[in-house]
Amino acid sequence: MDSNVAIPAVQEEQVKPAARLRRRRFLDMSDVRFFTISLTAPAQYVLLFIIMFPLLAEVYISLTAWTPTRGGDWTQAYRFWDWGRNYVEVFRDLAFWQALGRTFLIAGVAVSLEFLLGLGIAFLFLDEFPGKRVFYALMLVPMMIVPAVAGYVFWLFFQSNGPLNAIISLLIGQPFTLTWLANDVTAMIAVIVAEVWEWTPLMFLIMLSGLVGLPEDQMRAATMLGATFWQKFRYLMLPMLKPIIIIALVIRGMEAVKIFDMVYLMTQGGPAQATETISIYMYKIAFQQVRWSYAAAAAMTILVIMTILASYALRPLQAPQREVA
Amino acid sequence: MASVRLENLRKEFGSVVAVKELNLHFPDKKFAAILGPSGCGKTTTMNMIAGLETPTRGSIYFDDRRMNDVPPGKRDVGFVFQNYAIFTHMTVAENIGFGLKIRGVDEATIRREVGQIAELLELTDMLNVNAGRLSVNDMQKVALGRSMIVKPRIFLLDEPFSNLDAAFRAYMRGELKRIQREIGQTMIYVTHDQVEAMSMADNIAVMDFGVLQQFGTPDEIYNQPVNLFVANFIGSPNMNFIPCYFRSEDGKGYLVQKRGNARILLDDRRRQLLEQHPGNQDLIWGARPEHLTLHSEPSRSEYLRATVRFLEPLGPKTVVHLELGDQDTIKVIAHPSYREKAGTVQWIEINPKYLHVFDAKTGFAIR
Amino acid sequence: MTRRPTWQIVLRYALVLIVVGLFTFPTYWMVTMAFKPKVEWSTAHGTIYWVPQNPTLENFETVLTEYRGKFFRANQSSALPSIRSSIIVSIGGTLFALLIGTLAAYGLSRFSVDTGDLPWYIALGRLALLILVLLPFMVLWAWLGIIRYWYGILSFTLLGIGADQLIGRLLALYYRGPTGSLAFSILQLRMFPPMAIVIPVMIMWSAFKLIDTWYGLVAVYGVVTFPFVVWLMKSFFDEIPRELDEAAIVDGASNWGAFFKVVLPLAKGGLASTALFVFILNWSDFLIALLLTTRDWPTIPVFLNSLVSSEIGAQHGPKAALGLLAVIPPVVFGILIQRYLVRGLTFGAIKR
Repeated sequence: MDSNVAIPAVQEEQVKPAARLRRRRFLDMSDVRFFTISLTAPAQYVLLFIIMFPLLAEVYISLTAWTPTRGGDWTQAYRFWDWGRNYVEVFRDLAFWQALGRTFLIAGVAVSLEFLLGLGIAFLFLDEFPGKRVFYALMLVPMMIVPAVAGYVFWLFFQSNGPLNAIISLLIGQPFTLTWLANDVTAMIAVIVAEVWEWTPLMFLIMLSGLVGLPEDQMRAATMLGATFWQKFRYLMLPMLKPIIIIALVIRGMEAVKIFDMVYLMTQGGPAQATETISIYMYKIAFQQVRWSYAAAAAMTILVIMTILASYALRPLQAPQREVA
Repeated sequence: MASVRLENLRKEFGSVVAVKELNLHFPDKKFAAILGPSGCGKTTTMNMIAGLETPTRGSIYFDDRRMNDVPPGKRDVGFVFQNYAIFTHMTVAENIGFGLKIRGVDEATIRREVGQIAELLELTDMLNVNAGRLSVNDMQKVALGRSMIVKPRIFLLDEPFSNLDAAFRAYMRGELKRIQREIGQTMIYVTHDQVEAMSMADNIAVMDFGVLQQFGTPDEIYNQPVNLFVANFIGSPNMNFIPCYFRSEDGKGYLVQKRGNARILLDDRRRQLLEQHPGNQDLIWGARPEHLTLHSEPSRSEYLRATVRFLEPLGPKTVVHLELGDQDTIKVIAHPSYREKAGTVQWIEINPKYLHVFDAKTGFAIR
Repeated sequence: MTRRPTWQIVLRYALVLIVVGLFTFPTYWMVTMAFKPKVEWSTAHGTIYWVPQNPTLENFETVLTEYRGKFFRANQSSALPSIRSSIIVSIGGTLFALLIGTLAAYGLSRFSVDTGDLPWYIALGRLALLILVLLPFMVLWAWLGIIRYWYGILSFTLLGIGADQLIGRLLALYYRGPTGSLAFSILQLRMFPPMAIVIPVMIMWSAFKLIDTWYGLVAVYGVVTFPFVVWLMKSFFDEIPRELDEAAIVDGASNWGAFFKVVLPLAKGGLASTALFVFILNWSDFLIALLLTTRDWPTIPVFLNSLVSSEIGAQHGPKAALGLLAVIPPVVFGILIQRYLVRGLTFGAIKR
């Protein structure tokens, strides 16, 4: 028995040493490779699995003129094949581009305000003062409130008989009954106010952490050299906070362009299209006008635009990483 | 340039007293050091001079002007931090020129001044390097240059060399002293390293627990320590301390070891001094290891008998640890080639000129 | 630091009070409204009650109990199922995202050599190629009529994954330079409004009978939030020295052992903050739940939106009460992991 088992093993060793060696090295490599693959594979495939079909289905539908109201289900959409007419229409659709522009306007104004307010409030909280912890906790509360609830509270807030008008009436001493959400400009302001209210605390948190982490001795060194507060802010704090500021702006900007809840609950994009963001626009096309193929074409257009924007927006997030490597 | 005078300066952090009623006068154009172990209040003192901390009580004068209410940026004080506090997002040139830039000096002047400073500090090649990438040694130079360029009246340095490697530290000691002499700069230097203080300073203030222990030239501090703390803190290896009491016999005065019977004959001046000292039964005598000599024979009667315990050969010298009497250890610096075995009996000669006597209760020197 | 002049202290206090007051007022309004009786929260009379005159719990009662209208049979269901739904779906989505995201983050942190980013024209070119290849198959599958069934979708997806791999290989042959790191292509998805992809997801979900189920929602939440998990966890793993894994492997642990026994325990603070962040994202979601749930699994925001009864009109009080209840889980979670809060909420940007 013993010799029977041993002989082939010896023979293999003698006959094909090179092949064996190759095989071993391959095995060694595959050990790490297999591990790496098994780490990233679940994510990759789950993602592909969930994204692949919807993506192609969206492209497919977008190339037809099918909608649920035209009869048949979506699989029969090839019967209404019309190549890229939807895309041409999207390009011609002023409402689409206006909604896109509005989205960036709201996001831009809201994020800038959040940043400035957040930074300013962070300076107020930089030193110790009695009651700081309580005020700090209160500052963070808006972040914990579900945006849908916040949108609803702000909707109440901006009603013509709501608390805001009541406060203004008290201040100016005569009845003030502006219907905020029924006027183009004020509705926009209302939406931005709600967005700023919800997210300034996050900016505040980021900026405060950044300020607290600034190296104290460098500030003192600048003080000793006679720098005023503004000079320290301009030449030291801003450059040192720059990476954090950029990251904060990118993170918030990325989220802000998706704005839906607040607008949906406060104005439904109205009055008319005054506060119609891209998400609201698509919601209306898909679920109120039920033009699915057109909505799909719009979605694909947004996908392209956002991919281009994201690749630039995310660049600053990557820079420090690359420097380390 | 200006002199610095501290009057009854006191600083409390909550219930902790960091600096206690400090009275000091740092003369103009001199190099002074504040020396003490960590937590002795030396950095706090420095920060108060700079204006980074507000004194709880007392006054700070530059020449005759009271500076307490002058904000730090207006005091015309240069400050070099222990960790250099280099602006890492700027180049070397921008760092050095920062003080001028915020004063609104024009670009050309800044460039010229920066060039001069860089030459003085041998930084010319690195002016455009990002300061965050410098070695610790170069950061240190940049920090010096950044403070020097605004030509402050007083230059404060907070342990600036403690992070440097040994060789560069020795080099920078020399450089700093040279620069100080060249421009006649008033400098105040905080350190816990006695070698730095002794080698560079014109005057040294020794502090402990927020209290000034002694202020004097390096020679005074070394040769005439006013108390046990200063005597112990200065010198390496540190001074030998032997508890003893005073005995008068036949008109002669002796210091007799408490744990043993080693006796030291006192000169007349010391004898009279100690006879009148109320606490003369509770004394400590001290002698530096470098002031003691070892002999193999008791050729003179006042030599002290001691047994060798072990040797510390350090290269240029050998530190011999001996046992004197029952429990007292005594260190003696001997010739580098000294190689006696443990257990050998040796005789120690004490030069009475370098003998220090302290009151064991109060710790003060009796002179 | 030097003492500040009194006027600065007073000014700062005044500013803090004003700012905190402004930011707290909407919350205050919601909280008080939750405790006001109907007369006080109803806007009909035009009177504003700044503080509840007769604090009551009746709003909570209304929102938590089932109510049947007397005349029009207007149903008002209880909020309890939606609370249950929110909790299950948020936690489930968080766990799902954490599971696949953490593994991927570790893989990217330790074994990825490809840290360059993908230029948009490569990303889009790759996408265009994929679409060109797959579109005929999509039409074919549709013509065959199998795409509406789960096996049609499954086979198409497998085909698509194969095609994607192939295109990736081909691209790597001709394009030298960064072919992209998974983390960043994933992160790019994050900017994409969910609204834009939700129609085909609805189609796919109905084929798989996943609409209005908790697991259907968990899957979508997992995919939507998982880019954040990858990004955050990678930043935490990057901070753990590689030498620790190597030491564990030298001591005889397997790759998996090193990960689970050494690296993961060290990153547990990071895991907690990531979990909070993802949980808040899931908990706050309105849009996805609005479109993918109907009767059985509406989440709190969806339920809130539907909380209008034809009989009693707008339900401000009960809505506020439910909104107040919805604040509790994130706050509790946040307090539990206070120490890691900042890091998690700032996307790992703040290292302290």
